Amino acid sequence: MFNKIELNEQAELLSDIIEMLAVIAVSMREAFVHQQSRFLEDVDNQCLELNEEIAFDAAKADEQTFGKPLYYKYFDTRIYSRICR
Amino acid sequence: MIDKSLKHVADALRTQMKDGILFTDMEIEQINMLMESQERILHAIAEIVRNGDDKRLREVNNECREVADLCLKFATPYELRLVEGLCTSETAPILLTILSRIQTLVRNEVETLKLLSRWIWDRVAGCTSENPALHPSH
Repeated sequence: MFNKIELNEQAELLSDIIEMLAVIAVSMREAFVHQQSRFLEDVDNQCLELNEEIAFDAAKADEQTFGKPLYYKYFDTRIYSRICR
Repeated sequence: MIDKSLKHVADALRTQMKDGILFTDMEIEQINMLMESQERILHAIAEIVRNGDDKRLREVNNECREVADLCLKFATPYELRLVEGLCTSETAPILLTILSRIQTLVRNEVETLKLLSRWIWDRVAGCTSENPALHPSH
C-alpha cells in the first residue's frame, strides 16, 4: 500500500486511466462479437477522451515529482508514455 | 502505446467489418477469447496500480505471456494455409493482422508491468534507494 496521500492520488489517477483502457477493450470486443462497426466509433471517442485525460494527469504527476530525485520523474514519464502516447 | 495498440486492433476489426470478411465460429471464438483476456489483464493492471501490490505482477505477466503464445498458436495454421494457398485470400491476412496487433498490445503490457514493478517498489519503499541494483528484478 502507498503510504503517502499524494502517491495514493497518483496511483488512483493512473489506475483510472488503465481502467479506461479496459472499457475500450470491452467496446471493441462487443463491436466484434455483434459485428457492429458503430461500436467502434465509441472506441475512437473513448481514445480521444483518454488522450485528454492523460495529458492532464501526466502534467499533474510531473508537478508532484518536483523536488524529488530525477529517476522518479524518469519512471513517471516512461509509464505514462508506455500507457498512452 | 497501449492505447495506440488498442486502436490498431480496433482498426483491423473495422476493416474486417467494413469489407464484410466472414470468420468461422472457431475464428470468432479465438478472437473473442483473446479480447476477453485483454480486458482481464487491463483490469488486473489497474488493480495492481491502485493497491500498490506487486505480488500479482508475476501472475499478470504470465497471463500476458499466455495470450502472446495463444496468438502465435492461432496464427501458425493460417500462415501455413496461406503459404500453401489453402486459405481464402481475404480471411487469413486480416485474421493474422488482428492476431499480430493483439500480440503487440500484449508486448506493451509486459513492458508496462516491468516499469510498474519499479514504480511500485520505489514508492512503497518510500524512495529509500536510488540504486536500481537493489531492485528485486536485478
